[in-house]
Amino acid sequence: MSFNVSVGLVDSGVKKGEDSYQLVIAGGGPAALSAALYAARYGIKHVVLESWKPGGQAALTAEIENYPGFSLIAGSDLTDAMKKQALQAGAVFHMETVETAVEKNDKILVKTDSAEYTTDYLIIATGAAPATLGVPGESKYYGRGVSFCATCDAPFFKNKRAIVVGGGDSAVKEALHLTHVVSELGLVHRRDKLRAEPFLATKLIEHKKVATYWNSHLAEVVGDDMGVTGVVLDTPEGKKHIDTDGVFLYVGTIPATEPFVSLVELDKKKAVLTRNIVGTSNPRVFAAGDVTNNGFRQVVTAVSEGARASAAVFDLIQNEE
Amino acid sequence: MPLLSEEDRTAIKGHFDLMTDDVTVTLTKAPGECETEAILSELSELSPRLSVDVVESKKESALLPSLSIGDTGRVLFRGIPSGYEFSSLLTGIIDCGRSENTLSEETISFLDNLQEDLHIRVFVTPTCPHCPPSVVLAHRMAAYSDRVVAEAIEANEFQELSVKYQVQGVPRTVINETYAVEGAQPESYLVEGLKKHMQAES
Repeated sequence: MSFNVSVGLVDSGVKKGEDSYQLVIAGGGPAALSAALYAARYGIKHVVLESWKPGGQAALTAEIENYPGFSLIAGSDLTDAMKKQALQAGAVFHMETVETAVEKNDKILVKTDSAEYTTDYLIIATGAAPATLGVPGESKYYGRGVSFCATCDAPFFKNKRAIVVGGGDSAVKEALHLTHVVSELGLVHRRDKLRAEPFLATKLIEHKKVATYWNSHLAEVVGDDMGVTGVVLDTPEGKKHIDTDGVFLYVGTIPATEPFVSLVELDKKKAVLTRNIVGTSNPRVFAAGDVTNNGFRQVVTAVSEGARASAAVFDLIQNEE
Repeated sequence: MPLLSEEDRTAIKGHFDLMTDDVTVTLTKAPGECETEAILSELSELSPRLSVDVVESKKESALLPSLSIGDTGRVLFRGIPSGYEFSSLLTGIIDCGRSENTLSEETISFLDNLQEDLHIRVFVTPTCPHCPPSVVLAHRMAAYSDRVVAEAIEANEFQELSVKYQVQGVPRTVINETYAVEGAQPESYLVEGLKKHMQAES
């Protein structure tokens, strides 16, 4: 194990409550990091409120193979490099979670778990949290066999059995990561083919450790005092019990928009409804990345949207002067 | 060849420059070469405020390597602070080197009114980007209150402990053997949960 220096995660603990900014960027993933880089380079007085999950969903991706310039890079290395670059450009980060954001006297008042900020403009780049299925046993065994992060928790399943639920890019990438560690891997998907990139999907399906359960749903996670012991699936042939030690869930995401409901219009799935890619229903608020309804949820699109959002803010500031 | 790149040295030095007080990190290790000792030596070159003491232990039962940050003996890291946990180590050093307290008023009030000692164990892996905030919070609570001891434990290195505390996901925070929190949680969530648990126990 190398001493890869996650300087980006160092929390210097410097707080500046009740301060006034031109721009607050809410979020810590690629969209926010890109917005931070551009805001710093544009000389915008800003702060990034990155919450407790720096790097966002991308940091939890074991391997990224489709970010231009890198044939293969760990998601956490990529987001760490982005943060280092933003810090070098002068970006300011506070490790705080946004709780509410409301309009107040032609400004936006952002309240976090430990401070308040007044800002002219806001970029919402809070990403999305893993969705849950709400099936019996899922929350009971979270942390004791049920996981949303193969990158973090794979070592606990060395030479054990695990299943992955889902069929998108995240499910397939993390399932491939798990094949390096587990003895057997079940893949449970509600359709009869995967939505993930065909290249990765084929690699997974053909893997000797992988068994597939098509047109199947996770119905229950079962276990004992020590943790997960199995799952019950709804399959086309009826209920099926599978013995397993771990259950990794990649069944979609929920946009993290709760603090912003009074500021911007959301779509039916609670994503920020955008116009012209990064604009919102509120002229002082922009949005970027997985928190939006823009659809194609990739690191490469998130960083593009983050850059566009800061550029849009810069244009508005220039026009005011 | 140094473990830290020139770019990283510059970034770390920038953080260490925030320190206003002297900090000693005590490393307890098994006899022989130790990568943790090498990295601490490189870190100590980046600030005149940071010094490193090295103690050799031959006890087979000891959790080695083990680091104690500052002079309280309550801010501890068990295992090699590599990967993401390197940032937990850096933050712990910076925190101990500054008199400013960054805990919320609610947390400080909770700690000031503690009627019993708290032993916080935070299980982590080096590949978990969500783990350092949990370690940092526990370390800050221990640095503030002499009723709190906080240990970050590298779960892969100490598998017997991981089994004992039923760790199958990280971060997992276990307090006084009786209360556990899964995942990275904000400060207010941890303190509120702990308050409720202690009320129920009493």
